[in-house]
Amino acid sequence: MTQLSLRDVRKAFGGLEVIRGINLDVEDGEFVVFVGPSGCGKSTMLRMIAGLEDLTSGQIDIAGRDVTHTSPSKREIAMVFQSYALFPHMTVAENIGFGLKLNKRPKDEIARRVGEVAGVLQIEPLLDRTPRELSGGQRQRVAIGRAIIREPKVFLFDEPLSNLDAALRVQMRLEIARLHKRLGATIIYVTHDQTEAMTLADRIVVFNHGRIEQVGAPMELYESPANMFVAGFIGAPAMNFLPAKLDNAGGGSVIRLGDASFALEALAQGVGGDVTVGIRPEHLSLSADGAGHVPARVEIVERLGAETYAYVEIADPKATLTVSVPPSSDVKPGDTVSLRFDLSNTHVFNRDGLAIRSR
Amino acid sequence: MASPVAERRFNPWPMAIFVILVVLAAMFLLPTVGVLLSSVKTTREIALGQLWSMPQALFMGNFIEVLGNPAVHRYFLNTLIVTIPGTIASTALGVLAGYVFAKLPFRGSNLLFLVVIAGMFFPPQVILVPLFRLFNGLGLIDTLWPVFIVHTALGIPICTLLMRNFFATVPTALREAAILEGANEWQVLTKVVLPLSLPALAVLATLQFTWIWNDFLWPLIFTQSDEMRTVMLGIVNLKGQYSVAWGVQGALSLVASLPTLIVFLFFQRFFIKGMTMGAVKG
Amino acid sequence: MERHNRFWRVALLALPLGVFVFFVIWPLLSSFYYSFTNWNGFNSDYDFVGFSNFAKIFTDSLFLNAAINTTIWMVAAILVPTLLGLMLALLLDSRVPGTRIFKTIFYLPICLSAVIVGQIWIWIYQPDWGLLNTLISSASGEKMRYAWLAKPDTALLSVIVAWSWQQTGLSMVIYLAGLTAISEDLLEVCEIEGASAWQRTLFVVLPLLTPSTVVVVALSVINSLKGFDILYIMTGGGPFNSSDTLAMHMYNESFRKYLMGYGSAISVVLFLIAVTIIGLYFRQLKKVDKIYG
Repeated sequence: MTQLSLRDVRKAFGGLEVIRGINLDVEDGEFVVFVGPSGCGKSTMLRMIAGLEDLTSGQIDIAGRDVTHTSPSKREIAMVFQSYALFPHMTVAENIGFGLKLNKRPKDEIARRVGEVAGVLQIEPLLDRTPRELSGGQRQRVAIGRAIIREPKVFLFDEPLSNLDAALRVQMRLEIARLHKRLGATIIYVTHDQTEAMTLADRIVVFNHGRIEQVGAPMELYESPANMFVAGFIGAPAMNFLPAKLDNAGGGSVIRLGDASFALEALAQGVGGDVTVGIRPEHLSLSADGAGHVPARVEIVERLGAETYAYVEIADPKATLTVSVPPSSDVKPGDTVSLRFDLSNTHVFNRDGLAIRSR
Repeated sequence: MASPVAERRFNPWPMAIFVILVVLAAMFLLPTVGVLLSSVKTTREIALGQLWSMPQALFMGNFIEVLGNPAVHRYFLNTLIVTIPGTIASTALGVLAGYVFAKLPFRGSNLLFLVVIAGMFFPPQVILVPLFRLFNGLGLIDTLWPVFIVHTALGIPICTLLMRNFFATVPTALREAAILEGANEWQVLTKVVLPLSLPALAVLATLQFTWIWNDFLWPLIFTQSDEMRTVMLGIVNLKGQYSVAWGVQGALSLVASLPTLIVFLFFQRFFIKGMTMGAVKG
Repeated sequence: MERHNRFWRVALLALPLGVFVFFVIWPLLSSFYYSFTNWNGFNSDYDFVGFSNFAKIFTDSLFLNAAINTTIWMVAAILVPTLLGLMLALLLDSRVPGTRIFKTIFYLPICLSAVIVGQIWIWIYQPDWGLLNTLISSASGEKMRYAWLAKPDTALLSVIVAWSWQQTGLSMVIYLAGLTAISEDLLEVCEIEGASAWQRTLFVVLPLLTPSTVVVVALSVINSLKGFDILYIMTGGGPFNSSDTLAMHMYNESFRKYLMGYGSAISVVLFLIAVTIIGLYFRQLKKVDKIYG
């Protein structure tokens, strides 16, 4: 059953259009992540789903009901803010039970339900504390608790991990994932961090300049990006891009990269001309004995422990590429190597940035 | 077409609120309007109960009387002599002290700061008598010196507070960078920090000018003869001379309020964030 | 570096601290001294009279009267401008047009001197043609000639109204600043949780304005303890001492009757009252600071 449906949603601030026609269906229990660079419109879209911003045109349905003109409190949504937005003058229990109190529920009912939620999030000992006395992770759980107690149809998370330090972020990411499994809730989650997107999402929606670039499962976006933007955004370290020429004469497709050339399986849109080749660092390898496609010179080597990256320069076209090498490799700056492309994982993008070949 | 989905702040009934505000504003304005009206009417009109009606003709005689009265000239001059130096002096001292408390703290400086601030809080009656004795002994009673000195001294707490709070927002890195370049502390203060402090200085100058110009108590204590009176004392004094000339009194009040208004209008473009500094964090 | 710092600390603090200590702290301490004497303000010889000035305070009916009036004055001076200013700030926080004009109108009286405020309200209270009696007359149909400032029952209250007119703008400005400090996020939570405007004001906005309230009340206390000018102008402490406050009483004893020793004693008591109230304030301030940071 579709929990959330966005139909041709648009928003303009004055003359400036920031959301340019969004269409999306989210199923019950799905964890959908909105991801994209700053200013792409993902937060605005989230706030429109919440009802905190109006639409200029379009329609939003939640659980089958048109909520486009409904006030936020009646949309059966709950939101976790980036800043957590906990009331500093209320205790944890009062913060979580705030909505119930507004609805004039009896005190024992409020206490019981607050206790249940606190149990799920393991924050019972904190119920009488004020937000000031809590750590970042604890505050976030209280914010989540306030959302859970509403029993909403859709949970909205607005960059909830941005305010946490790196170690805590990993821990809270796991907790959110566990929570999703336990509650089976429908979640819309906004982040600019593609790692969070890849690890948490059932489906990722990539936003750019108010439009959806691509929607799909994480691995789908990783393996088959529809365009250069998605290809460059998903995956860390980012994909390498090189200008090249596509030669379709003679039935097959040949990519010419400077002096080198390699043949690929027949491309979908076999039009010759300028293209961009995309290849991820993990799909490049270095061989010392010339068995690769392009000669290169190692400029810098970064050893991170579990991973090692080599930054190599090639002459034609003039570029620096990131290559993931096995930690056991003893490659050094200044080494001359041969760069080998994993052809089955090489992407080609046409002049408009669209993928014309992906696996 | 979308009906208002998101409402902000306190706005259930915008129309009702607007009406209430208009009524309250009218009530608040009435007293001031009364002064304005009285200043352009003749004494006769007012005595006949016509103060609160719209004037048919604007009677300028009150203003002419006020502006031509040499006593009024004297009062204005005296007040200026006290207010401008007093503003400059108290602001300057506040800058010096505030800078030290903000950028050069030392052990016990917080306590000292609190003691200085506390100076704002106690009733001035406590130091009336000793100061009277001091200036009497110095033969300065019935001159303008005591008023100037006392306003400077009593202005130090508020000026120090505001400048210290403001200087605390100036990054210490600026000071350190300047010192590395060879500046001494005085140059840091005058060439680096002060130019950044214009909003705070503007607020302070306006506050001090208004406060000193409007003051009544200290001139009351320290001046006796008419030659030395400041404008606020002058207004009270002239009540005798203009006892039923209500219109003249009104004109005088308006004219006496002009300087602070002018100062406010002049400095307000510098205010920006200065106004509410410290007001919320207390 | 430290030597450089030390030099400049002294150099920069010398003048301000010197002026402050010599003209404020030292006189403050001297007041305590004079309160034990019977100095009359002119002769250079006077005697020590021990605690007799303070003993006199307890038997001085004028002192008791002034103390009661001061209390009434302070309570009213705290309640009225605070509540009125809060209400104005809340009203002005909505998106009605012309908020800037309204703010200016309400703030204007603060810029006027006490003398002028007093003067304006003397006219308003004028028995024959003042605004108040004019309005009452036209509303009731009968000519009203009540002399508000000349009757003991209404003198103090009349001055309180004038004072409130002036001070409300200040508390309004402080509350407005406090309102802007309330994070938008919290108000959006209220929207999502479905709070009505009244619930939002009661449960979220007012509690979060507590720091502002602390400042406003503190300022009201301080200003009211200093409240001398406007009373001097409007009633002079009369009629029949009905608007006599401790500050006024002290002035009368010192500069009218030339009992400067006794006047000092009164001022010392006034000072101790102020210190106590403000001390209690700072304690409350610390508690508030802990919650709101």
